[in-house]
Amino acid sequence: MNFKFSSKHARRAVAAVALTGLAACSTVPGQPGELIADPYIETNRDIHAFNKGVDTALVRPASQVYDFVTPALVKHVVANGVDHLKLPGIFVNRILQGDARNAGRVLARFILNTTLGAGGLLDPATEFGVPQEPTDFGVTLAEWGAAEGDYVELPLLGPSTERHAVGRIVDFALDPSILITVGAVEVGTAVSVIDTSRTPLDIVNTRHENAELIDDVLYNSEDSYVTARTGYVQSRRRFVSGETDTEQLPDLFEE
Amino acid sequence: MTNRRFASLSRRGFSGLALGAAIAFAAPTAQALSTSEAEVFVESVVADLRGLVENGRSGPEGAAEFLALLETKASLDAVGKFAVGRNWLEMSDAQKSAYGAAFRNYISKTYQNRFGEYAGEDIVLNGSVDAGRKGVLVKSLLKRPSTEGIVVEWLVSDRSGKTRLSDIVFEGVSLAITLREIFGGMIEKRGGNMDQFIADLAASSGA
Repeated sequence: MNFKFSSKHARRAVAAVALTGLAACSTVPGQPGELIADPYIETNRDIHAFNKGVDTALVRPASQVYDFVTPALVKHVVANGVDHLKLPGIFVNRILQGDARNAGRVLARFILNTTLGAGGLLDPATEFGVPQEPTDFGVTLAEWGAAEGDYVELPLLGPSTERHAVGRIVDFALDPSILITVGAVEVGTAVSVIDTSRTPLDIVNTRHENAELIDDVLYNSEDSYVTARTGYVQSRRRFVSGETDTEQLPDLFEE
Repeated sequence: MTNRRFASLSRRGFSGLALGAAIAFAAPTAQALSTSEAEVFVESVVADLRGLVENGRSGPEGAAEFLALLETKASLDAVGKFAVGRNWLEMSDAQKSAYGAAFRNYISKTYQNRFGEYAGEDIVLNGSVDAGRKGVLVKSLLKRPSTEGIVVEWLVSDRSGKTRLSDIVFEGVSLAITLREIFGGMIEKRGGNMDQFIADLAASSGA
């Protein structure tokens, strides 16, 4: 028997929905066996339609232009930089999770990439065995025992659970760069430009990195709302628990 | 009997002993699938899939080959039944049989395309966990250039009487549960009209 399995791979849900995300429609909330309660489905669907419109009109074209005009090396550096700027927030969450070991790893990664990695544009830390291991305040809340809550689709941010929605707000406030954003610390113009451009860059970069997946979910499925919900909820649960929970697996031979 | 003597028994002696004990206590004879048996099984499924993908036949021919593979390696009937949830209880025998065919059409066309996208990429198995009555979950990593790879997990069970795949889980997203959610939605949208749902599924060219 072999129980050896590291659950610390990067857990972007990329292939997940690409492989399983298909044509879909809605399920009635409260039905036994359903994945998650969706009592706000009417509102959620409206917001989904809005989000899809934003993707069609803005985000997808922007990411396509970005892909087309940006040299591969620059895209690589942007992806590293965006990751790097997330480290302070990840560090704070590791501390709040009482996970000193991983907090130390985040710190080590930050120092390595800031120094040897040209301010975070390169990623030697991964070579040293300290890869990006994302976490967020939604995970912290789960560790503290908060319930997942119902399904909600948030304007611009997309699929979420109630717990994850709260987590997103807190993550925004917890990130040390909030001090720059609100003008609490004085920084040079360059830093201020980086601070204000990181969010749009993150959005475009994420959309570009997951282009096939997002296109499949939004444009190649019969009902993109349900497809997105199904994929999001399952991959988010795995992200929160760190590995696939056998409790969540289907029991095909259940009577 | 001391532990040392017990350990020194040959493998054959050990299974003989286990068998004797089973008879003596009139215990259930169905031996649960071991993790190593499940790993060997998944190894063979991966090899078959790789062969299929490298073969690279597209269109109906490829879909038929893919379906033939699933037919021998996966509990297709059980997955199909799971995917319609409680609706199964209200379906007539004729509907169940039509659904079985429609379901096969849908998954073969859909997943043939999806798996095809992974041609040439390497899968390595890395351990397994006992998932109790659900079977054994075998873990693997699909290596992709320039990313950290995709965690693919294979749920294997012998509850149908044969060792078969029950589910494939991609980064936490279960194929069986995803199908159930999607079909549930499709049925709902058709006002619970199973005949319409089955007809649409049969006509589907995959997603």
